[in-house]
Amino acid sequence: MMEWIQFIATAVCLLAGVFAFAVAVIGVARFEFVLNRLHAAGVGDTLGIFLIVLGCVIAAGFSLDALKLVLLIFFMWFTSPVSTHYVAQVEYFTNRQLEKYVRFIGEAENGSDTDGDS
Amino acid sequence: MSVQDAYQLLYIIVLLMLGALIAVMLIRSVTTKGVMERILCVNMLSTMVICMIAILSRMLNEPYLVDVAVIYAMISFVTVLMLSLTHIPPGKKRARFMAARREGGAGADGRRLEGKEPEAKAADGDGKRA
Repeated sequence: MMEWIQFIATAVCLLAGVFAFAVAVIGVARFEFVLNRLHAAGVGDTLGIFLIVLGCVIAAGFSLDALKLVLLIFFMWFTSPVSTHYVAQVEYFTNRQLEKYVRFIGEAENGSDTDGDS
Repeated sequence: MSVQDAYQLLYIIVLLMLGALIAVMLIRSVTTKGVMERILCVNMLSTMVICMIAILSRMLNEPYLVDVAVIYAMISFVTVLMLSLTHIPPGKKRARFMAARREGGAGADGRRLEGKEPEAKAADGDGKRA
Protein backbone atom coordinates (compact mmCIF):
# COMPACT_ATOMS: atom_id res chain seq x y z
CA MET A 1 0.00 0.00 0.00
CA MET A 2 2.85 2.35 0.84
CA GLU A 3 4.42 1.65 -2.54
CA TRP A 4 1.26 2.71 -4.32
CA ILE A 5 1.14 5.99 -2.39
CA GLN A 6 4.74 6.58 -3.45
CA PHE A 7 3.81 5.75 -7.03
CA ILE A 8 0.84 8.14 -7.04
CA ALA A 9 3.00 10.96 -5.66
CA THR A 10 5.60 10.26 -8.35
CA ALA A 11 2.96 10.20 -11.08
CA VAL A 12 1.42 13.49 -9.93
CA CYS A 13 4.83 15.20 -9.82
CA LEU A 14 5.94 13.89 -13.21
CA LEU A 15 2.70 14.73 -15.00
CA ALA A 16 2.59 18.20 -13.42
CA GLY A 17 6.17 18.72 -14.59
CA VAL A 18 5.27 17.68 -18.11
CA PHE A 19 2.32 20.11 -17.99
CA ALA A 20 4.67 22.92 -16.92
CA PHE A 21 7.01 22.03 -19.78
CA ALA A 22 4.08 22.01 -22.21
CA VAL A 23 3.09 25.51 -21.07
CA ALA A 24 6.69 26.68 -21.48
CA VAL A 25 7.03 25.13 -24.95
CA ILE A 26 3.75 26.62 -26.15
CA GLY A 27 4.87 30.02 -24.88
CA VAL A 28 8.31 29.80 -26.49
CA ALA A 29 6.88 28.55 -29.77
CA ARG A 30 4.10 31.11 -30.12
CA PHE A 31 5.55 34.37 -28.78
CA GLU A 32 7.53 36.43 -31.26
CA PHE A 33 9.68 38.73 -29.15
CA VAL A 34 12.62 37.32 -27.24
CA LEU A 35 11.81 38.83 -23.84
CA ASN A 36 8.28 37.40 -24.00
CA ARG A 37 9.83 34.05 -24.83
CA LEU A 38 12.17 34.34 -21.85
CA HIS A 39 9.16 34.84 -19.61
CA ALA A 40 7.65 31.61 -20.92
CA ALA A 41 10.94 29.70 -20.79
CA GLY A 42 11.42 30.56 -17.12
CA VAL A 43 8.39 28.40 -16.26
CA GLY A 44 10.04 25.31 -17.67
CA ASP A 45 13.50 26.13 -16.40
CA THR A 46 12.43 26.37 -12.76
CA LEU A 47 9.03 24.78 -12.11
CA GLY A 48 9.20 22.06 -14.76
CA ILE A 49 12.61 20.69 -13.84
CA PHE A 50 11.77 21.00 -10.13
CA LEU A 51 8.60 18.91 -10.45
CA ILE A 52 10.11 16.24 -12.69
CA VAL A 53 13.26 15.79 -10.62
CA LEU A 54 11.14 15.83 -7.44
CA GLY A 55 9.14 12.95 -8.90
CA CYS A 56 12.39 11.08 -9.51
CA VAL A 57 13.50 11.82 -5.93
CA ILE A 58 10.25 10.42 -4.54
CA ALA A 59 10.65 7.33 -6.71
CA ALA A 60 14.26 6.88 -5.61
CA GLY A 61 13.61 7.11 -1.87
CA PHE A 62 16.45 7.74 0.56
CA SER A 63 19.66 7.06 -1.34
CA LEU A 64 22.69 8.76 -2.83
CA ASP A 65 20.85 8.88 -6.13
CA ALA A 66 18.17 11.11 -4.60
CA LEU A 67 20.85 13.40 -3.14
CA LYS A 68 22.43 13.85 -6.55
CA LEU A 69 19.01 14.61 -8.04
CA VAL A 70 18.45 17.31 -5.39
CA LEU A 71 21.89 18.67 -6.31
CA LEU A 72 20.74 18.78 -9.95
CA ILE A 73 17.67 20.84 -8.95
CA PHE A 74 19.81 23.36 -7.09
CA PHE A 75 22.34 23.53 -9.93
CA MET A 76 19.61 24.28 -12.46
CA TRP A 77 18.05 26.85 -10.17
CA PHE A 78 21.35 28.70 -9.92
CA THR A 79 22.36 28.49 -13.59
CA SER A 80 19.13 29.03 -15.53
CA PRO A 81 18.52 32.60 -14.21
CA VAL A 82 22.11 33.46 -15.16
CA SER A 83 21.69 32.24 -18.73
CA THR A 84 18.31 33.97 -18.95
CA HIS A 85 19.95 37.17 -17.71
CA TYR A 86 22.64 36.97 -20.38
CA VAL A 87 20.15 36.30 -23.18
CA ALA A 88 18.08 39.31 -22.08
CA GLN A 89 21.22 41.45 -21.80
CA VAL A 90 22.37 40.60 -25.31
CA GLU A 91 18.92 41.32 -26.64
CA TYR A 92 18.85 44.67 -24.83
CA PHE A 93 22.26 45.75 -26.10
CA THR A 94 22.11 44.52 -29.70
CA ASN A 95 18.49 44.89 -30.78
CA ARG A 96 18.02 48.32 -32.32
CA GLN A 97 14.32 47.88 -32.88
CA LEU A 98 13.63 47.40 -29.22
CA GLU A 99 11.26 50.35 -29.08
CA LYS A 100 8.75 48.49 -31.21
CA TYR A 101 8.27 45.94 -28.46
CA VAL A 102 9.38 47.59 -25.22
CA ARG A 103 8.28 50.82 -23.57
CA PHE A 104 11.02 52.48 -21.55
CA ILE A 105 9.47 54.04 -18.48
CA GLY A 106 12.48 56.20 -17.55
CA GLU A 107 12.85 57.70 -21.00
CA ALA A 108 9.12 58.35 -21.27
CA GLU A 109 9.28 60.46 -18.13
CA ASN A 110 12.37 62.41 -19.22
CA GLY A 111 11.71 63.05 -22.88
CA SER A 112 8.16 64.11 -23.66
CA ASP A 113 8.73 63.94 -27.43
CA THR A 114 8.80 60.15 -27.47
CA ASP A 115 5.12 59.65 -26.79
CA GLY A 116 2.89 58.13 -29.38
CA ASP A 117 5.06 55.15 -30.18
CA SER A 118 4.00 51.61 -29.42
CA MET B 1 -0.31 -5.15 -12.40
CA SER B 2 2.54 -4.72 -10.00
CA VAL B 3 4.14 -1.49 -8.90
CA GLN B 4 7.18 -1.99 -11.14
CA ASP B 5 5.00 -2.32 -14.25
CA ALA B 6 3.12 0.82 -13.27
CA TYR B 7 6.40 2.68 -12.84
CA GLN B 8 7.62 1.52 -16.26
CA LEU B 9 4.35 2.59 -17.93
CA LEU B 10 4.48 6.01 -16.22
CA TYR B 11 8.10 6.59 -17.24
CA ILE B 12 7.40 5.60 -20.85
CA ILE B 13 4.38 7.93 -21.06
CA VAL B 14 6.32 10.86 -19.58
CA LEU B 15 9.30 10.20 -21.86
CA LEU B 16 7.05 10.14 -24.94
CA MET B 17 5.44 13.45 -23.91
CA LEU B 18 8.83 15.05 -23.36
CA GLY B 19 10.02 13.70 -26.71
CA ALA B 20 7.08 15.32 -28.47
CA LEU B 21 7.82 18.64 -26.73
CA ILE B 22 11.50 18.35 -27.73
CA ALA B 23 10.47 17.77 -31.35
CA VAL B 24 8.30 20.91 -31.26
CA MET B 25 11.17 22.91 -29.78
CA LEU B 26 13.66 21.58 -32.35
CA ILE B 27 11.40 22.50 -35.28
CA ARG B 28 10.79 25.92 -33.75
CA SER B 29 14.51 26.54 -33.23
CA VAL B 30 15.09 25.96 -36.95
CA THR B 31 12.15 27.96 -38.30
CA THR B 32 12.51 31.05 -36.11
CA LYS B 33 14.53 34.14 -37.02
CA GLY B 34 17.34 35.73 -35.08
CA VAL B 35 20.23 34.50 -33.02
CA MET B 36 19.03 34.79 -29.44
CA GLU B 37 15.71 33.17 -30.30
CA ARG B 38 17.53 30.05 -31.45
CA ILE B 39 19.81 30.06 -28.42
CA LEU B 40 16.76 30.33 -26.18
CA CYS B 41 15.02 27.44 -27.96
CA VAL B 42 18.12 25.24 -27.66
CA ASN B 43 18.39 26.13 -23.97
CA MET B 44 14.77 25.07 -23.45
CA LEU B 45 15.46 21.85 -25.37
CA SER B 46 18.49 21.00 -23.26
CA THR B 47 16.48 21.54 -20.06
CA MET B 48 14.00 18.93 -21.27
CA VAL B 49 16.84 16.58 -22.22
CA ILE B 50 18.15 16.88 -18.65
CA CYS B 51 14.73 15.88 -17.34
CA MET B 52 14.64 12.94 -19.76
CA ILE B 53 18.03 11.71 -18.53
CA ALA B 54 16.89 12.02 -14.90
CA ILE B 55 13.76 9.98 -15.65
CA LEU B 56 15.83 7.46 -17.62
CA SER B 57 18.12 6.92 -14.64
CA ARG B 58 15.10 5.88 -12.58
CA MET B 59 13.61 3.83 -15.42
CA LEU B 60 16.77 1.80 -16.05
CA ASN B 61 17.71 1.89 -12.33
CA GLU B 62 21.23 3.05 -13.09
CA PRO B 63 22.38 5.88 -10.80
CA TYR B 64 25.33 6.97 -12.91
CA LEU B 65 22.97 8.57 -15.44
CA VAL B 66 22.30 11.32 -12.88
CA ASP B 67 25.95 12.31 -13.21
CA VAL B 68 25.43 12.49 -16.95
CA ALA B 69 22.46 14.80 -16.34
CA VAL B 70 24.55 17.09 -14.11
CA ILE B 71 27.32 17.24 -16.72
CA TYR B 72 24.76 17.96 -19.44
CA ALA B 73 23.40 20.82 -17.33
CA MET B 74 26.91 22.27 -16.97
CA ILE B 75 27.57 21.99 -20.72
CA SER B 76 24.24 23.66 -21.52
CA PHE B 77 24.99 26.51 -19.12
CA VAL B 78 28.47 27.10 -20.53
CA THR B 79 27.13 26.95 -24.09
CA VAL B 80 24.51 29.63 -23.52
CA LEU B 81 27.00 31.77 -21.59
CA MET B 82 29.69 31.60 -24.29
CA LEU B 83 27.27 32.17 -27.17
CA SER B 84 25.92 35.23 -25.35
CA LEU B 85 29.39 36.57 -24.58
CA THR B 86 30.41 36.36 -28.25
CA HIS B 87 27.75 38.97 -29.01
CA ILE B 88 28.63 41.38 -26.24
CA PRO B 89 31.63 41.33 -23.90
CA PRO B 90 31.10 41.57 -20.13
CA GLY B 91 32.40 44.07 -17.62
CA LYS B 92 34.48 47.08 -18.53
CA LYS B 93 34.91 46.02 -22.14
CA ARG B 94 31.22 46.61 -22.72
CA ALA B 95 31.38 50.42 -22.72
CA ARG B 96 34.16 50.42 -25.33
CA PHE B 97 32.28 47.86 -27.38
CA MET B 98 29.08 49.88 -27.33
CA ALA B 99 30.94 53.13 -28.17
CA ALA B 100 32.74 51.48 -31.10
CA ARG B 101 29.50 50.03 -32.37
CA ARG B 102 27.72 53.37 -32.09
CA GLU B 103 30.44 55.05 -34.17
CA GLY B 104 31.13 52.29 -36.62
CA GLY B 105 27.60 51.45 -37.67
CA ALA B 106 26.73 47.82 -38.17
CA GLY B 107 29.33 46.17 -35.96
CA ALA B 108 28.68 42.75 -34.61
CA ASP B 109 24.96 42.65 -35.26
CA GLY B 110 24.74 43.87 -38.83
CA ARG B 111 23.71 40.53 -40.18
CA ARG B 112 21.25 40.06 -37.40
CA LEU B 113 19.39 43.29 -38.06
CA GLU B 114 18.81 42.35 -41.68
CA GLY B 115 17.35 39.08 -40.59
CA LYS B 116 15.08 40.80 -38.14
CA GLU B 117 13.45 43.31 -40.49
CA PRO B 118 10.67 41.11 -41.93
CA GLU B 119 9.70 39.82 -38.54
CA ALA B 120 9.27 43.34 -37.19
CA LYS B 121 7.12 44.28 -40.16
CA ALA B 122 5.00 41.21 -39.66
CA ALA B 123 4.67 42.04 -35.99
CA ASP B 124 3.34 45.49 -36.87
CA GLY B 125 0.52 43.92 -38.80
CA ASP B 126 -1.49 42.50 -35.97
CA GLY B 127 -1.39 45.78 -34.04
CA LYS B 128 -1.82 44.14 -30.66
CA ARG B 129 1.83 44.17 -29.66
CA ALA B 130 2.86 46.76 -27.12
